Amino acid sequence: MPKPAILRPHAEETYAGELKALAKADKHPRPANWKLSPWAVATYLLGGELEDGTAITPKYYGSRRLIEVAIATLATDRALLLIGIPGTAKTWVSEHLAAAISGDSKMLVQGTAGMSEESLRYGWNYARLLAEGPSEAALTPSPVMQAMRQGRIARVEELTRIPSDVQDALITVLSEKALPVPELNTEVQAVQGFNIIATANDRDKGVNELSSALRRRFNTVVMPLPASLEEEVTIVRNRVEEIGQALELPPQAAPVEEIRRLVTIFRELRSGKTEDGRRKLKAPGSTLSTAEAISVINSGQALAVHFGEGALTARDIAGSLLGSIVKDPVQDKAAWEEYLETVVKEREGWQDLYEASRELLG
Amino acid sequence: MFSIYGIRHHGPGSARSLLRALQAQRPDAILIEAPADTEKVLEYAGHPRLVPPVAVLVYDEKDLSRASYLPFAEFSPEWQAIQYGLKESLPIIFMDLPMSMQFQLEAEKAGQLEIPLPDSEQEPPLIRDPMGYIAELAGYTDSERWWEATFEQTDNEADIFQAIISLNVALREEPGRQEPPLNRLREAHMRKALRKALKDGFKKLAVVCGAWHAPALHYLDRYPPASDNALLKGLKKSKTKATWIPWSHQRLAFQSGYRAGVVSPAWYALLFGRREEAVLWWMSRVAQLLRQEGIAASAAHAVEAARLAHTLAALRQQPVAGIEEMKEAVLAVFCEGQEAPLKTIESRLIIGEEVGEVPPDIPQIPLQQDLEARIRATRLTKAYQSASPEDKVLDLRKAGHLEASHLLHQLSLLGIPWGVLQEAPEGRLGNFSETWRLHWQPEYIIRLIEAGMWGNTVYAAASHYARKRAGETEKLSELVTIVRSALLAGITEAFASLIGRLEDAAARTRDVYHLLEALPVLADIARYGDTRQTDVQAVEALLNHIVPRIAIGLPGAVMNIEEEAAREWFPLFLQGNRAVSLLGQAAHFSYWNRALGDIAGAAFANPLLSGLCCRMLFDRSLLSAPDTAARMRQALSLNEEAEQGAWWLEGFLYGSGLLLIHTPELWPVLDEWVAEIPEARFPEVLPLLRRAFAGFTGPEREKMFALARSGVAAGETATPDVASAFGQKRAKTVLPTLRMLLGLEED
Repeated sequence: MPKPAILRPHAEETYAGELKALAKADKHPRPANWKLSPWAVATYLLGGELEDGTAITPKYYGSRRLIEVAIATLATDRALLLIGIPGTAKTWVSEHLAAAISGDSKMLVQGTAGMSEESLRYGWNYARLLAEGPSEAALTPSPVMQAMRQGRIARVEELTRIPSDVQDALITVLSEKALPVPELNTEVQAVQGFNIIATANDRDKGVNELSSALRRRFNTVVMPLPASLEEEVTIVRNRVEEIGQALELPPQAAPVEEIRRLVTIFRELRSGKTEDGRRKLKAPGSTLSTAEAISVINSGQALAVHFGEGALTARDIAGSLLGSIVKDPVQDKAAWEEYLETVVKEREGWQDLYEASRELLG
Repeated sequence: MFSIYGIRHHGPGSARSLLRALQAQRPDAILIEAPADTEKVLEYAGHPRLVPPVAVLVYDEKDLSRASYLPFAEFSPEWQAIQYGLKESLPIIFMDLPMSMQFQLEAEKAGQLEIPLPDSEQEPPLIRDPMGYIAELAGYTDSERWWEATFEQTDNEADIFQAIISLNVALREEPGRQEPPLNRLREAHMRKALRKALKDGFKKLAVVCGAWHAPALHYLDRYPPASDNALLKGLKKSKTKATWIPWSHQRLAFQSGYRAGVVSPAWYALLFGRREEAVLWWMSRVAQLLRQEGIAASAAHAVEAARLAHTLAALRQQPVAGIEEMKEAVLAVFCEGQEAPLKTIESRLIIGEEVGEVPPDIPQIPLQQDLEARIRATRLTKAYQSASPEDKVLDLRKAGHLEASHLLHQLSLLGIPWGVLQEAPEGRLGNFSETWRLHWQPEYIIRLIEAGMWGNTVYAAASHYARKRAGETEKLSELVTIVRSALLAGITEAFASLIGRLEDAAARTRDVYHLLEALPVLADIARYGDTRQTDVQAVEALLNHIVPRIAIGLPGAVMNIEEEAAREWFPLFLQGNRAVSLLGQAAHFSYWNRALGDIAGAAFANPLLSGLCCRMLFDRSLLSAPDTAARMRQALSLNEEAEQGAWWLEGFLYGSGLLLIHTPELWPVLDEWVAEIPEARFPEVLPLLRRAFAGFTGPEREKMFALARSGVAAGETATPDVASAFGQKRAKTVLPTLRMLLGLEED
């Protein structure tokens, strides 16, 4: 039986070819233990063409300056904190940064509310601990500790979801670049090339603010929502195509018009006014991020392929559109209904979407 | 022989290169591109208390509207060249076309310049800063970075200036370009000066000029002296004077509207003075400024931000960090990615707060000396020297503060708005404090010099100027304004003659409107003049003439006027009434009340005003309640337009509706009238009534509604229920304090 394909390979595997070509072409100085120079990392994320003709696909569409600040931060051995509302490609950027710098994006700690310090520092193999007493072999290192030993980038996702006292375990790691193990009377000292990329959400419920001692050890980059309609459509289209390949949906032309329409709706509801700036709108409480738009198109495409006419129609996206906008059954629904009646209904060529959505609202 | 140094005006990199080149060349004289007739200022250029940023102010002695400034910062190459020359005791020659000729040329051009601009602002950008133009073409937003990237790595200074000449040769030879006429004249003059210097026997001349002009001087042989002389022949001259004045970083900044300015004077100063450590100094300043704003910023932040800025620059393959990198680093390290804290310090950070200094022994016009002496006497020196606006609260009961207030008012009378009064309720003088915002602008000096023709002290100049302006106008309202500002400025000397002018104008004017307009101002002066220690008897005398005149003219003036006009009169009536009460003189009252009575009773007076007059009389108890009710009935019962009645009501009820509730006679009249309006007409009247009642408080309106609903006359049943007209809870909160104040025991 053939081994089933991995659902989602890591960035360094998906883009192994690009990384290899970049490493070959890269003539710039590399910080110790970096697989690529800062210049090459920037090219990897933002795309470009190498001298040997290899095309590097852009992984991040948006401000070049932000990415440069992020890379420069990591090169100065300061930790990087990416902040933004959900769906602004924080995790995406952090994964690709780690993949490009260390060639390994797997040193990952997922922050949760119930997390303990062990997940950030080290735990014990209790069977061994009981049998042999404290020893190096009984120690189970956290991804952070592993990254310190190997001189790689460790990623901490959703830093603000981690309880504050647990967060502070990172302070020693970031300032002393060492992790003491008092039980063994030893410590793990970070090798050059070690650093941390943390992501955090500033608009979520139940976030734990960072202590200023910890905050001071991070350089902060705020990830913005896409600046223009064009930029956002590009992001959605490219991601939809990529994901479509992974899910083995039959190839079809990217439904650019549908994407444009969807992104327009998202942008308008998010900013509370129409793109031409003429009309004010009620903004729903949902985040309406770019990532959300991508998933709407994806599920719409899946619907179209498996249950519909094959090509994406308004009917296919109306369902998941409703789901992503209306998170609060009363207020969000009112906002959506108002938007349908005042904007969608009157917009030329949007009649199909209006009817499909109207039908679902009942 | 001579070497041409094409420089960037206000370019720190350029200044450093120039200094190194001068040290290598060791010239025997220096020629500088600056107007020849300003050369006299060099005498003071080495003065230890002349601290840049400073500017040379050149002005036409006869026509002060023709003036020009030549600003210099520490990092201006010309300034450095001058300092170098003074240090080495070299002859320094200013070689540019004299301003005396440039002023004449401007005068010949049709349409004079209204605002004097710094000389270089009239040049197109290419000529003013060709290197900036090239940097822009090369994709640099900050042209100083282009300079860094292009020239700072070179070891041989001579190469740099050779390269600049070739660059500008190429730029000047662009097809289809034509040298502007003024530029041709200036370059001809510069060549003439250069030839003269050569003829005078200097062997190693250093010529410092804008990069654009470098080729025109370098290839001296290509320009025949005869044609240069012919060009310059017959140019007229006017007589000019030049002096040093303090300038500021803010005025050097491009953002402040100085087109030849630089984006960040603060950064350029660092680049010049501490190039190797500029980023560190910059970040330390960020930390300091943020701390001033109460934002936590430590030295550790500064270190990290500097490192990030350096790394960013390296990533972008730049030799040094520029303003952009530093901004991004500050955002990421100091501000946690938030723009807001950066915004609060941005202008101070980027532009800088430095203000230059000019030694007091540089000859000044007497008025300027007087001003500075008075600034010292009134302790405003700090505000005078500050680059940013400062707020100052003056308590007029203190002699020193009153003195300061007088000075500021005198200056604004002279058109020098150094201080802008922040809270000045119109026509109110009964205030002991004034809040000023003080912000000195270097160009005020030219206005001061202009004002010098009116007198040698600020007081005398303001006094003469006020009298001169008063002499030019016949208009009552303008005169009143002048008198008012003279009063505020404490110019008692001019007062008698100003009041005289006012009296003449008041006698001549037939327009009661303007008289009534003047009344509140004059009353304020008479009543509160004492605060300002002014002699007010003249005003009181004037009032004794004006009030009767108003009273006599007023009824006639408001007969048969439209609603719109009546609404214009309305506030004047209120102010006039207040003024008469303020004066509190029996004679005035009797005149005023008679006028009010006439208007209230006149059939053709506008109902809005006659209603108002009725109310004023009622308030003074000159009309009894039954009389008022009769008036009201009459005004409302007119079987003409119902809207007339509504207007009358609006005037009568102006300000408060309690009157209706508390005067038992009035309510039924109104009640009846509303009931009698035919149903068809009611919709027309409704909006007017609404307007009349709109200004009342909620409880007042509720009370009236209750009265109307019960259908009974107010006085019959209800003793006025005062308790419900205000929020009980809120009222009670003051009771403990009140008790304490009155020294009462708890009950």
